[in-house]
Amino acid sequence: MRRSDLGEFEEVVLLSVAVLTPMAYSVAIAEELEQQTGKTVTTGAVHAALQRLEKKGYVSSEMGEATQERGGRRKRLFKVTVAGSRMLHTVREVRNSLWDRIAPHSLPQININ
Amino acid sequence: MSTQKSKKPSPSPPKWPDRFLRRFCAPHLREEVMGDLHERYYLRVQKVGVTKAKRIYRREVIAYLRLSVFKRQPSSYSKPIPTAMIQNYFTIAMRNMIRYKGFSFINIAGLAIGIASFALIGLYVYHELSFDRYHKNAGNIYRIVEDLSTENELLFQATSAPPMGPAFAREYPEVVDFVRFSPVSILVTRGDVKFYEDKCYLADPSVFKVFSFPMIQGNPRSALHDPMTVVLTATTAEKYFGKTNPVGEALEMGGDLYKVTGVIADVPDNSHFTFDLLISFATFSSENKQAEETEWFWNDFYTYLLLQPDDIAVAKLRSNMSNFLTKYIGAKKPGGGMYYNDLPLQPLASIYLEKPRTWENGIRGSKENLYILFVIAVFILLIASFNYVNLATARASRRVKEVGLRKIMGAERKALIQQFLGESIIVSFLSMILGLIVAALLLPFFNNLLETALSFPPFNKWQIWMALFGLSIFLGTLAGAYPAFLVSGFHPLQIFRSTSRSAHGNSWLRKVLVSGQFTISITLIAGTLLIFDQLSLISELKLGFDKEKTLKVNFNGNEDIKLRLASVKNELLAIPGIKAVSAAFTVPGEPTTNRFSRVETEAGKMSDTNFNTFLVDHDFIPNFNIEVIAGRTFSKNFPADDSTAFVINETAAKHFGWNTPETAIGKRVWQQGKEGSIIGVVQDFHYKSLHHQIEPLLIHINRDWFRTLSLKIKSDNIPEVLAKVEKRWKSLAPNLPFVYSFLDQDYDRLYKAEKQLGKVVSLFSALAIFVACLGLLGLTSFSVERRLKEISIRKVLGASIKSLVLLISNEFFKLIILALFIAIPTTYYIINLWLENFASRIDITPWTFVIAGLLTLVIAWLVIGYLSVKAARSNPVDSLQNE
Repeated sequence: MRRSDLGEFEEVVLLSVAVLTPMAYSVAIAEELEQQTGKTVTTGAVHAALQRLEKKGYVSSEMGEATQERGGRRKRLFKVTVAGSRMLHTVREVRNSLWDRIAPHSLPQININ
Repeated sequence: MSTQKSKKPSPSPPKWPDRFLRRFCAPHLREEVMGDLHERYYLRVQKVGVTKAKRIYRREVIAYLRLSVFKRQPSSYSKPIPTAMIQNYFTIAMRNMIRYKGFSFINIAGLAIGIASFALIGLYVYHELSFDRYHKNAGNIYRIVEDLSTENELLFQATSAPPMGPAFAREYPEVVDFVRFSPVSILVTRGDVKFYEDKCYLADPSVFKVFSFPMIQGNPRSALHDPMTVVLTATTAEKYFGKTNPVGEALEMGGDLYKVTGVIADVPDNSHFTFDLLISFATFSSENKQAEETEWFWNDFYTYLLLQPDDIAVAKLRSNMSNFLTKYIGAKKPGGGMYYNDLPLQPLASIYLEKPRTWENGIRGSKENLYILFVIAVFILLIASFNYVNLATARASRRVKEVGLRKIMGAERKALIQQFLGESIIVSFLSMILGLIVAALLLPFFNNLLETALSFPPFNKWQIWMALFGLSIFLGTLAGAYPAFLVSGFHPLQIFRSTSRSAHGNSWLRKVLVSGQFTISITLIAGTLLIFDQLSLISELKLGFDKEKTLKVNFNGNEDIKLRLASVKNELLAIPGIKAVSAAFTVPGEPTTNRFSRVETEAGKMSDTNFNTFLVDHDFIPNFNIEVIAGRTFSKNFPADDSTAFVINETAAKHFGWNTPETAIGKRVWQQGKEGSIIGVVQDFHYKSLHHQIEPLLIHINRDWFRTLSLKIKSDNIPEVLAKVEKRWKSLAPNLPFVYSFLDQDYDRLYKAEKQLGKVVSLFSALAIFVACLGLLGLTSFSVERRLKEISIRKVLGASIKSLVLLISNEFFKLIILALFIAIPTTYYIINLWLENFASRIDITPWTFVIAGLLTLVIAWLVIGYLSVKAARSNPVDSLQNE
C-alpha cells in the first residue's frame, strides 16, 4: 500500500538527500542528522526511511562506487525525484503560510541566539 | 563527508552481530546494508574509540531488525501450482515405502506404538485433569478447609464446622450459597434387601443449586427440604426399588422411616467425592439445632461455597474475611487449646490433585504420577521420531541420485525440502491412523490394568480432529526436518562424480540420537525396577503388627451387638479355626481419628494436643500381636482399666519428652471427658500406610464407639472358616448384613496408586525399549548391508567370525554404554523425587543400574548380534561376485 503523506523523519531525511546530493547515502545522511540534531541517529532508521521514500517515489537510487572502509562494498546513492521535489515544496508552502498567519506576540517570546 | 583513512588498521566490527545480520538480511540488500554499517563503524572508531564503537555497532544491528530488511526479493519466475510434481512426489514416496518394506515397517510401527501410548496415557491424564469440571458452576465453587493448631502441632484438615457455611453466606455478599455435607454410615433395609451404606451424606437442599447433579425423578428445589427425606442415585434406587419409581416411597434407614423425594443420576467417576444417598440436613438440624449454630470446632462437615460468577470474587472474599475468625471464634487463646490459623478456600477443580489434607472425603490423585506418565508418553514419541531421523539420514545416500537428477532438472532446494518433509508427514499420518486403531484395541486391557473405566472421547468434535491432524503434522515435521534439510543440500556435481564420497548422513547426529534413545530406555527400565523395589519394600517391611489371616467383620456400631458384645465374641470364638476376636472403632490401615486431648508434660503441666486415637477392647493389643515395651496392656484383672487406663506408642513417649518409655507410665491423660493415666507403652506399629511417618498414638477402651470385629484365623482353610463365620453371624444378627474384608488386602489397597504406576511404567518402558530396538534393528541391518563387501574381503583375508561380529556391534555398544552413564544420574534424580512420597524408602543401589544396563545390552545384543552373525557367516562369494 502506498502512502503519499510524508512523516516528519522522512521529511528531514528527504531534505538531507537534497542537501548532500550527489553524495547522499545512508551513512552520510545519518552523520549529517546527528550533527544537526545532536541526537543519535541509527543507520537502520535512515535506511528504512530511505526505503519508504523510494517506495513512495520521492527519491530514486543507484549503486555508487566501492570504498575501502566499506570492505569493498558499493553504496546506494539517492537523488530527489520530481515528485519528491514537489512534495518538499508543498510542505514548505503549507508551513510558510502558517508562519505568516501567526499574529505578532501570539507566540510566547523566546530568545533566539 | 570525511573518508580519511586511519594509519593503522582498526579492529574489525564485532563478529557475531555481523554474522547474524548477514544471515537474516535479504540478499539483495546485503551489500549496501553491510557496507553502510562497516563504514559508519570505522568512522565511530575514530570519533569515540573502539569499545564504544563496538557497543554502538551492536545496537545498530538490532536497529536493523525490520521486516523491510528481512523480506526477500520475490522470485522473478512465475509460480504455477505444480500439481504434476506433487503427484510425482506421492508416487515416489509410495514406491520408496513399498520398495524398502522393512524400513517403512520400522518407521510406521514405531511411530504407531508411540502414538498409541501417547493416546492411552493422554486419555488417563485427561481423565485425571477432568475431575469436578463437569459442574456448571465449577469455576465458582470453593471448599472451606481449615489450618488449625494446638500447642503441640499444626493440623491441615479438609473439614469444617456447621456454623461456618451459614455465617459466610450471611456476612459476605460474594457468597451466593453454601452446601454442607456430613458423612453418615447407615444400615438401609427394604424387605430382604439390606446394606450398610457408607457413601451417604447429610446435605443442605442447596446441593442441587450449587452442584450439577441432574435429577431424574422429583423436584430439585424441594427434594431435601424436609426432615426425614432422602435422595438416591439411580443405581441405589434400583438396588432397593428395582424398576419402579421410588419417589414418595418409604425406606427404612437406621431403624427410622425416610421418604424418598428424588432420584439423581449416578455421581460421575471424576468427582473428588461420590455418594449413593443424600439425607436432608434438616433431619439432623431438627435434633441438633443448638450445636449446629454454636459448635465452631465440630469438624465433621464439608462445606462448599458458591461464589458470584466473577473472577475476583474469591480474592475479594479472602480479603474481606480477614476478621472472620476473631469475630466469630475469638482470638488465639493464650492458655492454649485448639484454634484456627486460617480458613483457606480451595477451588473445586483443584481439590482432586492437590496434596491431600487430613479427613479428605475421597481418594486423591497424584500430580507427580501424572507428570511421570506424561513424560513417559513424550519419551516414547521421541524415541519413535528418532528412529525416523536415523533411518532417513542413514538411507539418504540411497536417495542422492534422485536428488541430483531433480536438481539438474531445475528443482529448487525449497521444493526438495517440501518433498522430503511431505514424505515424513505421510508416514506420520499412516502411523496416526494405525496408532489410534492400536490404542482402541488396547484400551480394555489398559483399563483392566489401571482399574479405570476410560473411554475414547467422542470423535465428533472438530477440536479433536484438529489436534490429531496437528500432531501428525508436528511429528512428521519433527522427524523429517533434519533428513529433508540434509538430503536437499547435496551438490549435484558431487553426487555424479563417481569417486566422490557421497554423504552417508551425519553420523554424529545418529550417534547422539541412538544414545538418547537408549538413555531413555535404560532410565525407564531402571525406574521400573526401583518402583518395584519400593513396592516390595512396602509389602515386606515389618509393620509392627500382624495383618495376616485377619478377618474384619463390620457391624457398623450396631447398638444391639454392642450390648451383647461379650457373648457375640464368645460365639465367634467357639467356631473351630478362630483363634481370637477383638472389637475396635478402627483397625490399622483405616483412617484414624484424631481427637482433642490433654497430656501431662514432664513439667507437670497439662498440654493440649490432637492425639491419633484407637478405641479398642481388652483383646485388641494381643490379637494384633502388638508388642508392649513398658508397663502393661489392658487387663480384665483391673476393672478400672475400662475407665481410666491409657496406652501410648513409643513415638508418643518421645514426642512428649519422656526420655524412656518407663517414665511415661503414670502420666495423666485427658480425652473428651475421660481422665486417667498411662499404664503402658507399645512398640511403634504402622497404623497408617507407609506414606506417613508414625505419629503419636493413644489407645484406650471405649465401647460406645465399637464398629468392627477382628477375627484371627488359625486354620489354613480360610474359605471354610469364612463360611462358618457367615453362618454363625446370620444366626447372631439376623437383621444385619454380613460385611467382611481381610486386613492384609485392605492394607494393600492403600498403595493402589503406586501399584498402578508400577504397572503402567513397566508396560510403557517395555514398549519404549521395543521401539528403540526396532530402530537399532534398522540401523544395524543398514550398516551390515553397506559393509557387506568390506566384511567379505576381511573374511577372505582370514578374519574370524568373532572379530567380524565385534566389528559391527562395537559401534552400537559404545553408544549403549554411554547411554548407561547418562541414565544413571537422570534416573537417580527422578526416582528420588518420587520416593519423597514415602516415609520409608529404599536405598538406591548400583545393582539396579547394573541390571538395567545388562538387560538393555542383552536385548540390544539379540538384535545386533543376530544380524551381524548372519553377515559374518555369509559366503563372501555371494557379495563379491558381481564385480
